[in-house]
Amino acid sequence: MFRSLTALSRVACLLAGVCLAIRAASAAEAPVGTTGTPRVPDPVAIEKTLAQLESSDWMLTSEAIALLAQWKTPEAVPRLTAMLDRRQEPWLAGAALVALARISGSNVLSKAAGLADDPAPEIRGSATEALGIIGGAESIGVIQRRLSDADSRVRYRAAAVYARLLGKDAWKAIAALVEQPPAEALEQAARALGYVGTAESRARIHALLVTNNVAGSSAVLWGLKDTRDPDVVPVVLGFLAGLPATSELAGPCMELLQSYGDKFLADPLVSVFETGNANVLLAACRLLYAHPAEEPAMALAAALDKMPNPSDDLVLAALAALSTAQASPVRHVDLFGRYLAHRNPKCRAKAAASLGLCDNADLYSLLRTSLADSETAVVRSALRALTRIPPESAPREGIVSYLGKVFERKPSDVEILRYALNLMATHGKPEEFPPALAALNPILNGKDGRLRYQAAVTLRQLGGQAMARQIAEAQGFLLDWMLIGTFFNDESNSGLTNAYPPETEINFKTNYVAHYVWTGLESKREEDRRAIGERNVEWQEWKTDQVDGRVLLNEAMPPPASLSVAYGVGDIVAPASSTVSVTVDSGDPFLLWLNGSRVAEVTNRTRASVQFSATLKPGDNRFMIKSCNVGGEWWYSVQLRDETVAGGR
Amino acid sequence: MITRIIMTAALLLASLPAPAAEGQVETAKLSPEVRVAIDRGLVFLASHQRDDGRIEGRGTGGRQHPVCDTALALMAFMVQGHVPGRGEYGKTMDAAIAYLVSVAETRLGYMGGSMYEHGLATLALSEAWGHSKNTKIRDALRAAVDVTLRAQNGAGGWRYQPQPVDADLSITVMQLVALNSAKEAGIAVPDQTIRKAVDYVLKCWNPAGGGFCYQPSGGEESPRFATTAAGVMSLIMSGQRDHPSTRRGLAVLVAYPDVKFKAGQKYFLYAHYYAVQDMYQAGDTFFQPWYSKIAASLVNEQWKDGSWNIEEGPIFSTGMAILILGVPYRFVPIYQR
Repeated sequence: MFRSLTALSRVACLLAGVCLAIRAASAAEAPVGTTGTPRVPDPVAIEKTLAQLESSDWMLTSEAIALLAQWKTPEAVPRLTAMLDRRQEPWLAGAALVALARISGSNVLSKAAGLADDPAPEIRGSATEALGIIGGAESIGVIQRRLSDADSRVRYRAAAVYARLLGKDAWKAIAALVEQPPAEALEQAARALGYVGTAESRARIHALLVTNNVAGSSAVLWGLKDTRDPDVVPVVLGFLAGLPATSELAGPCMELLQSYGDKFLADPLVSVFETGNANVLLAACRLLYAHPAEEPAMALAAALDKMPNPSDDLVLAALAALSTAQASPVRHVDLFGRYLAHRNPKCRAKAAASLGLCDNADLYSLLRTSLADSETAVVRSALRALTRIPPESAPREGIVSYLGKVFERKPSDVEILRYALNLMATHGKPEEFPPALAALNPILNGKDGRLRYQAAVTLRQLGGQAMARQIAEAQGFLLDWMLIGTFFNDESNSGLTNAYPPETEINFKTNYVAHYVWTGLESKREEDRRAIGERNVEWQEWKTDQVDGRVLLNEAMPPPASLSVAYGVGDIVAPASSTVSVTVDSGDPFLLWLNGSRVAEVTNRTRASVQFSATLKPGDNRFMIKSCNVGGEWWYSVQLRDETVAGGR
Repeated sequence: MITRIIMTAALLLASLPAPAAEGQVETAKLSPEVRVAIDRGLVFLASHQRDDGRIEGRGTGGRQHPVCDTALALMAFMVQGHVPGRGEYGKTMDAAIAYLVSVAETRLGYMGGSMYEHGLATLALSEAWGHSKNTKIRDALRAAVDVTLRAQNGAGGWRYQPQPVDADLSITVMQLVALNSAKEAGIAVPDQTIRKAVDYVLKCWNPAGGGFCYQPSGGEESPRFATTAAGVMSLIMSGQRDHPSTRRGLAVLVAYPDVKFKAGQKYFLYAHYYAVQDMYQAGDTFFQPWYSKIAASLVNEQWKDGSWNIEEGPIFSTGMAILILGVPYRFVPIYQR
């Protein structure tokens, strides 16, 4: 295991060293202004790097060469010259020569010119690179001779250097070379073509891209990275547009284009959009999304306007590209608005989302139709967009009336309803409480407890705490209770089976002596940390003001509420015999009686909700609940729904 | 830690607003036994003053807390209506003030070994400032308040050290009282600081038990007497008299078993410094039965030399006991608001 890891790390280092050398060479020949000023190293770093030149590890040596070239360190010249003269490793010697050219310039011209005829192709290739750095007529003459070198790698390396120095004037000399370059020379051939920068060379680049296999096309794309010809962008975009969606080349294409940076991309993107070439537009949209800018965005919008029937993919990509902050979406409100009526729901949803970024748009008018869309995604996007605008700009008719259609959706559209409730809560006004209560009635009487609670909280937000009881009543909760407690309980909930007086008689005018227990008293003596006391308990009225109908026994009962039992009695009048659905929710074990008969119980300690059908007799009906608390929150709620009545109540 | 918690409580009662009209305590009744007990206690305190003005004794384990003891003693004199520079204890109080000011001057405003002591000393100087012409008090107060403001942590509370790191209810209440008193004395205290501190106190309330925990989410199932008394007190004096947490906390204090009046309970003096003022603010029906029980308990605990020695040494205990017993005097300036 250790051995294989070491081998792997050596490969990684090797690659790193080679990359460093390549980077150093590239930096040497990069156009002015495209690279930053090399970092000025400190003397200690220079000293260490000079010493690293003598390393027995060739990877460290190559790294040192690259760094010293990048820093243009004069102190390195004697050692690099010696290394070149020793020729132990041809490619290391070649790297030393390139570094010398970078540091000393024309001082090594004669040496480089001489080595251009060296027997080793690595040295000849490096000499060509070195001469390219030095420049001048003499260098160009030597490089030109290498265009007919016996070794293809030297030939094409020379072609790339030659094209970089002469630009379009190099075409005549290299045209034949780049006609059908061998596989191993594709990268350098592409570099050469990129540096020529003419229509002919770009046509040849396109030909190389489309006629080679994946590896060959990748090499071409790689070779174009340093050339930064803005006019190559449409060529690559066109190539990208013709690729299958799953092509391995899509990544290298985008990588190349993105390496050009915003400065080099804006103008080519404008040109691409102005052509209106539908095939290229999709790739261009994706590039614009990654490198957003206002001017190409305007060109894209204009192109879309001219297209009679753009593909769905193109519409989606374009809407995404136009929705970034740098693309100024506020300038495309009309375009977004048009796509609200697109045949594809994904496009409609995206258009609605894009409109949400436009502060200047009258979204309530624009999105009214979207709220009635049959597709959930469209409605969701519209609601989210509306949530983003300030509450002050809510429609005059009121948010409740505006959202009316949304609340007529089927209850299974929970996500939509949640968004709508959120919008109502943030954008509604207090005077809208009555219509809101009516609009939300189906939810308040629905079976989804979480949605019902959100609706209740929304209504409370509209109407304030004063409306809480009305909200709870609309859900069928029993709100008015007579309560008595606390009676004794212990950690094993023995109070549940102890029948206290309310279980044998209910007389609201009677009081009882009851025991209670305090634990955790702050006494220094262990035996004094628990105390049992007795006190009179009597019935009290309790009108809950919780929107979820909870009777908070923690508040209603005298402290301590832990280790306690309480009874609650709730009366209702039924006009006729009827069957109701009863839901009891509680954080603690409980027993429930209806008209003196036990009808439900939960005897474990965890929170429980039970639902059952019960028959109410005509006239007075009495529920009594016994709730037993050990510790923590202490509450219960009782909800009645008449299942024979539409709407649940 | 317990030591320091107990030390905190002193003087809290000195800084409460006047009771609500509907719950006002109509008559301040001090029995002859209580008057005598306070008189003897003050003599004991004065007899323990050193040359540099500090009033000091030995606390639990021989530890000394001169700033805490001096601040408590100073407040104890004020409870009975004594003022700096005049009368029987005028010179004693002047010297005690000079000592506290000198500590603030030499320690860039930070007084004492913990924020408990710092808060107590800030409170004592704030209350003394209205009765003294010593302008050094004002400068010391400004520096002390500055330390307190900078030590408030992100949650709104304070901890032992003057750094905005951690927080607990006990030290937070101490700073809240001190800041309110300093604000009344004319020292600039941002409203936001008070609001944040109140938020922290409310986070320490446990709705299940109805009491206040030492720290938020303290998980203390049974309400704690001492921290509940402190929490209620800080909310009342911060204008939250009708907050559900205040009302429920008050109910917890009342319902707490009568063992609370027995000296020997943990944090006995600390808890009752807050609790007696809670009851005072709640009105006569709360205060009178409560005061008679705690007064009887304390008088019974006094030693022959006039001191009490219930917790944290005789100076601390005597100062605290006098502050509890002296509530009906209402001579401390902040009572009169």
